[in-house]
Amino acid sequence: MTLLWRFILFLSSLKFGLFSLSCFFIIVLVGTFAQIEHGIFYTQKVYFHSLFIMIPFRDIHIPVFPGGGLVGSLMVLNIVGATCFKIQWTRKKIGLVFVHLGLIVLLLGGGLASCVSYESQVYMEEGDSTYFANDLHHNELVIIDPSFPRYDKIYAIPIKDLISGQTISDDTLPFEIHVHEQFDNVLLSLSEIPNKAISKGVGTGLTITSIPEFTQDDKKNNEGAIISIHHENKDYGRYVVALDIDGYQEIHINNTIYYIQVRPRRVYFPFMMTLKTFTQELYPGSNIPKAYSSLVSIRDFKMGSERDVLIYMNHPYRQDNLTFFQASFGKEEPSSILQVVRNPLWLIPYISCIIISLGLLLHFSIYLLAFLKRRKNA
Amino acid sequence: MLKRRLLSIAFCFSLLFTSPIMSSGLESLPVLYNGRLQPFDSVARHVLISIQEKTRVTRLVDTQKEDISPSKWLWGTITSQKEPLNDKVFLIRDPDIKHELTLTDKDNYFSFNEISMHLISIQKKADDFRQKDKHDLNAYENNILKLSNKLNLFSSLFYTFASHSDVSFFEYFSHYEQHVPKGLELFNVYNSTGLLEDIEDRKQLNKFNHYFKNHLVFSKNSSLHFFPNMESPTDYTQWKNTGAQLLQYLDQSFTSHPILENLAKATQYEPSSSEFHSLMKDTTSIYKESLGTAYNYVYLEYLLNTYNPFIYALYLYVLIILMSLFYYLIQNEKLFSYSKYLCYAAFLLHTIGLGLRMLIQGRPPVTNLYSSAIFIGWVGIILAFIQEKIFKHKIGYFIASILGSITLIIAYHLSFQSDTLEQMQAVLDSNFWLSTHVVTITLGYSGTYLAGLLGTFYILYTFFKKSSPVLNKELYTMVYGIICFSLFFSFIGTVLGGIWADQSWGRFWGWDPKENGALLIVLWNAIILHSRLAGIVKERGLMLMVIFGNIVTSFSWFGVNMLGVGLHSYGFMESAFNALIFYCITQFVIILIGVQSGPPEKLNR
Repeated sequence: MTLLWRFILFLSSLKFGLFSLSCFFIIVLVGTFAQIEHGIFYTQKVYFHSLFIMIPFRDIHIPVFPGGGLVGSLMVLNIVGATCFKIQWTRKKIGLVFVHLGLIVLLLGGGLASCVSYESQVYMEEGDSTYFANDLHHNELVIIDPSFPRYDKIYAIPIKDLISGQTISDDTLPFEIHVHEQFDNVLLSLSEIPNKAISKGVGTGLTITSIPEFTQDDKKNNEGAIISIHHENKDYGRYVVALDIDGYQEIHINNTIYYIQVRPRRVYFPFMMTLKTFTQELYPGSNIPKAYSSLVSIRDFKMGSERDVLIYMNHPYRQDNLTFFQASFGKEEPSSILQVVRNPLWLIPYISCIIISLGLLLHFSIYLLAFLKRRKNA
Repeated sequence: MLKRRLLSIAFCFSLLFTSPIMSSGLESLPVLYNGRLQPFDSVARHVLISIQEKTRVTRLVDTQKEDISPSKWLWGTITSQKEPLNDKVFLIRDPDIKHELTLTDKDNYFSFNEISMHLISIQKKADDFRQKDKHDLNAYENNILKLSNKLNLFSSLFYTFASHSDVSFFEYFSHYEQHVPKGLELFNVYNSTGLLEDIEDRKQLNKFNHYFKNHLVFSKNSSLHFFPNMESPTDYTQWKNTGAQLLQYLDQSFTSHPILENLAKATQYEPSSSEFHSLMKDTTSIYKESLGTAYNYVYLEYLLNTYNPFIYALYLYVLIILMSLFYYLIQNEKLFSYSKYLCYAAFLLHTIGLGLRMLIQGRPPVTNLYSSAIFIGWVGIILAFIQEKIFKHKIGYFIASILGSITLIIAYHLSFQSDTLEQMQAVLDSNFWLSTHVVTITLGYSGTYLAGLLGTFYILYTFFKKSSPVLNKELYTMVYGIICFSLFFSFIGTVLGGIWADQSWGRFWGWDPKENGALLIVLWNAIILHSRLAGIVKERGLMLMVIFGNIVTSFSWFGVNMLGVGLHSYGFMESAFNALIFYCITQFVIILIGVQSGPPEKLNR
């Protein structure tokens, strides 16, 4: 037996499967308790999507336990191996084969979906129109070039790509950006004394303090950076950019004005969406909400056709891999908050779960019938 | 045989009717409250539970302590009688607040009159705390907010049938009724000419104005809606509270509301008097006629409140546990067959209660934590019955009764938390998902608990008594079968939950605590089955693992709801949290006993 074959057999073994199942159990348990302190997004990142669960010790992060990503991958390998080499493909065990095949699809699909899907939100008051949603967890630095008559040219750089000490230069960009310092979360406060580290923009009047990342869901990290702009070996000033800074900052280069801003990543729709009415229904004689619904009209950019869609609880609207859900509503005006999810793999859990459920049903029925038969004969 | 069965059924029904009927007709009056039509009795219970976490009121009458029914207490309160102000119904546990209000430390219940002088300072503080972020509130601030809510609820009751002056509500109402035509006339004159010449007229109009303002305040504050629109009584959006109904008298085409007339008259009498009874009878017939079947559901709910079948089922289950224990000691077959029929009777009561709840709500069996407790017990008992049918080991009814009594005790405690028939929050309002996802996941809970109980039985039985290998083997088979059952249903339930989440929030899985809890049960059951397959555990090991399953299930069912509970919340959640911890410790102790009592797997090999 070659070493590789033995390794494959080990990976496919029941004991290894049990080991990874147990690890997964522990991760889920710990990740649940972690939510006492931290928000869901943070725990997902640290416990469930990670390769290793890291614990900060002084300045370094030490891996203490395999993370959900790693264990999930090991489980997939284990199940694939077990299904190929261990489980007998006999009529009696056909249910088990189904269960494990379904699990492979479920786990793989889930893993892939966590990579390719993203969540965003739209806030609209009645009468508002929009063609994009804001990603809740990813921000980008945008450079707007307004010098074209019929459109603006927009360059967008994910804020995570701004790395301290590096320079971003590309032929398509109108200038080079040197990143002096990148912040995962930054506190900006007005100050009387001019900030000497910043030479242009609103940052000259601000004190800039780097603070630890928020882990709760209801607090948003103010991502940002201190950057300087260079073009043809000339320095065009040092700016601070951050999510909390409303509006654009101007950069003047050779009679051209560019605007820069950090804003949530936008998810664009192939249509214009207008909120016609938002309705909130209460149970009679109480303040208990019974139902919310948003009546939106959708005007397709390509076809030019327009139609009305009613989005309400448990009844999302799907188009082009985008799904619109009634998530919440604004306090003051009649306004609606729609959750917009792009998940091209949304069907996979449905399919895999049907396979697994059928498999379980088949397997347990075969065994139950055999058991009852044995008892009858005994 | 048949005779015995009939006897046991007769017995359980006779239990139902042993509790005295003291209805004056008030208890079953339909009221629209908290978004649903319910009997006056339910409203009274709900109000009492909200302010004192129990429904019993004891009042000192002529130096004698007397129990006051919830309905009688509420009627006294909404008609502004003096006694309810002195009833000790406000539950305050926080020692800091007691100290601040100069209340005695020993008691936990206080009367409105004892607190009323601090009313303004409490409300002022509460207003400040309401501005704060919910997560930043400490225990004291939370408790002040709770007290303020209780006081608000209590004070809102004064806007139902109170005149807020020296005269009785009936007098006030009759004056108003007589005054309306003249008042409207004066108002119209004033509106068109801009002045009233006669001083008396001006006085009259002023008084009329005063009425108007009063009723506006009434209509804003009261949440008890007694009055349907007589033309379309089943349109609940048109039901009015007293203030709004009084305002409707200003509509010139409006004559009078028969129910308001009756209730106003009733405010003059004692609920035990014959005049009161006949007025209630009359009112009831008006409701009955106009509401039709909707009234029947209200009446059913009143019956469910009065003859709480779950309580009787609980008593019976406890009795059966004792009888079974005796049976195991003295092995008297008669005792066993009695306990068997009693168990059927208890289960019948349990089923009647569950069925009535479904009928009244028009929903699947599980709609909230309370009903999940009742349903988990119910399913577990059926499973135990099936086991008994197949294996005939005479432990089925014992196990069933333990499961029934524990879940009903949990339900009993949960019933003091909120309205158990409450309306569903918007996102949960889907009978389809409630009957698929919620029911299947609860089936999974039932299975793991039953397996855990059988495991416990195995461990304790082998500890105290040398049991036969045959029994052990069959217990093992049972437990294995049930684990498969729970894995199947908890998996399907979790998946259906994912699909529901995908339908309402656009994500199949979000690692939210409740989802994780369900997943943990699935994982644990899978771990058990694979450990058995790998030969890591045999008979005893499997039993120990299913007992740990009890802890996993309890965490999923209750624990995840308590994740945010701080250490000093002085409330139900804290005591529930302690109970949960205690339960987990007992399970660990049993596991330890199981590990200690003999080298487990050698017996088998």
